[in-house]
Amino acid sequence: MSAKIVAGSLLLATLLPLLSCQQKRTSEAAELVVVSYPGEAQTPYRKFLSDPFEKAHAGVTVRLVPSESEDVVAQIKATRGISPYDVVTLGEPRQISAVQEGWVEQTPRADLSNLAQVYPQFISACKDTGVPETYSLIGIAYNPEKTVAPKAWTDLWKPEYKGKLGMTTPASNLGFGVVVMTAKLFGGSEDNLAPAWPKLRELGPFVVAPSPEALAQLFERGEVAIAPLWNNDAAILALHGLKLKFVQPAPGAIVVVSCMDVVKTSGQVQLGRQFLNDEISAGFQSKLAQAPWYFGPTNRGVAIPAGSSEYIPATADDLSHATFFDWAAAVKHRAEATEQFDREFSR
Amino acid sequence: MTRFRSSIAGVAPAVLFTTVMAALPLLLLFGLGFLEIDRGAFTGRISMHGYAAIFTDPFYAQVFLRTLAIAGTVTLLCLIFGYPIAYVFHRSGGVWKAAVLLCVLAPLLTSTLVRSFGWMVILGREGAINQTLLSLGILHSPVEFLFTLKGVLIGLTQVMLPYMVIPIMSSMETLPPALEEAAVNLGASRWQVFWNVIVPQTLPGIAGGVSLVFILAFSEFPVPALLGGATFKTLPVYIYQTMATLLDWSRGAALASMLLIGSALAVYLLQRIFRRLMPWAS
Repeated sequence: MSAKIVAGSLLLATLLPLLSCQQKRTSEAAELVVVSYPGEAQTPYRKFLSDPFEKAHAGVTVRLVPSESEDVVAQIKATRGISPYDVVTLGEPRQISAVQEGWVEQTPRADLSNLAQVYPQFISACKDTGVPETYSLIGIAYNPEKTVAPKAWTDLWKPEYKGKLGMTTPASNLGFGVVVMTAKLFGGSEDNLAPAWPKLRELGPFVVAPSPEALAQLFERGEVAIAPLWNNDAAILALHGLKLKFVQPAPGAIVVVSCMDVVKTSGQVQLGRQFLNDEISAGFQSKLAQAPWYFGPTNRGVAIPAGSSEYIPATADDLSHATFFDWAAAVKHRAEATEQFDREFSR
Repeated sequence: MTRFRSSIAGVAPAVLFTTVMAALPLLLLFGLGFLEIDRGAFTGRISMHGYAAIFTDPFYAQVFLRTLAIAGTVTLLCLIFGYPIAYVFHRSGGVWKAAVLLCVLAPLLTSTLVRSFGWMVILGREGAINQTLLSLGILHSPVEFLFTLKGVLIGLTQVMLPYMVIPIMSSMETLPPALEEAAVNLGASRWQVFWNVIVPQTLPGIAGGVSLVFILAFSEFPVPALLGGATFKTLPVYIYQTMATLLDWSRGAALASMLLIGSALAVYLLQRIFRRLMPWAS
């Protein structure tokens, strides 16, 4: 009898934590879990968005989780219906996949009063599901103490940069953007990435960082002197005293819109929609556009701060000189490109 | 019979726990390799593409062999560096013994991830090693350690060293002092005592250390991922990428099964080798 009691107790002890995990997401009714950026880039989201949101909604807690788009997608897929997140931020290429796979919610436009202030081209970039929260630029960052300034994307192939270059894999939007840009520069297109591979091989040897954040850290440690980088990461590194310059190379820095969506399986859909609406407000977006973050505002009511032209286009005309990709066409080749990159440059 | 039943009831929770927490996930993992999964969603079809890919594409064999070679090299390096440490511990007394033990155990107090980040700082172009060698005039330009095989081997050897030293230490501590004394009294030199008496007697410890380090190095993820960079592919790093980035779970599961079977085979072969070296132990 005692053995049965011991066995039963142990079984219960084993299963209870599993049962409580299932309960957790619903019992924490007032918590909104939001995927955000890692590191310093999360600061404006905490100070100017989630903290005021908590104050405006008594009893609500916003938990900002720093994560990369690809990790977020993998986790949501792995949890199969019980998403650990309520609101996610995805770069345009990931957003397209998310919409196609149907795990983000179609947020009713009527719930987004601030959407009227958003540039229409950015709204369509997010496939009319979530909101275009910001845009970022992929340009070239370089250390002026170690190398000279590039002017165009094609300058990366110049001999003076040989052995000084850093890259990241197409698993990240940054790395994927560089592959697409290389293809387009050398006779390919978003739908034909083949010309990129021989040209990328010519760039070698280069250091390949596992993520954009890791690539930024390589500048800090002196491992690379030049690399394609996000404008925001370059700005933050420069703020921390690193000798780093950011160039928007010809024919134009690559624009990647970040979309914010409510996850379909979220238990906090209504709160999530309100969070999305606050995100695209002129007040919050004007904070995001300031130094040192330099996130491109999607709200037309935001004036670009003076002196920020190194990192973001100052006017609508400047923005028109940036490069906009047909991500919908490119994203079909992403898995294939990621795998090919691994095989081409695997050591 | 009643006693037998209570024994069964006594071990049942442990058996259940092991089955649920260890065997079942492994079986699921193995089975996942036979399902067709499109970007994380099960299509409802059975497919061999996961296993077929790893058996028909030479790229996977290359990654597998590289991982095997790295695990083998790290095991050898750990044995070369670890055995003298265990011997010093055996020969020391008092405070020195405690100091050696502390040095061996101290790295285990921090996580592998933290130690890997530490190595990234040390091994970089502007890291401590390069800066020291450059300032001493030994080098004229920095040596590339980071994101190379050299860096991965250095990091892995440091991380795995305690797992080699501890089993050998405990094996040496069980050696009766009379054995060494008898050998010396019979005219054996120091080297002969070491090679013919101490080493054979510590073979069980070596066997334990070698098996442990090999398996851990073979399946290690953070060190190759951080010190090797994104293009340095070992099997665990590639499994992570296949699962998390490509979302090709069936191929990832097939690769994970390959890792598991590889580890199991390695343990089996090592056991056979050491059994031959220690006929008295079987």
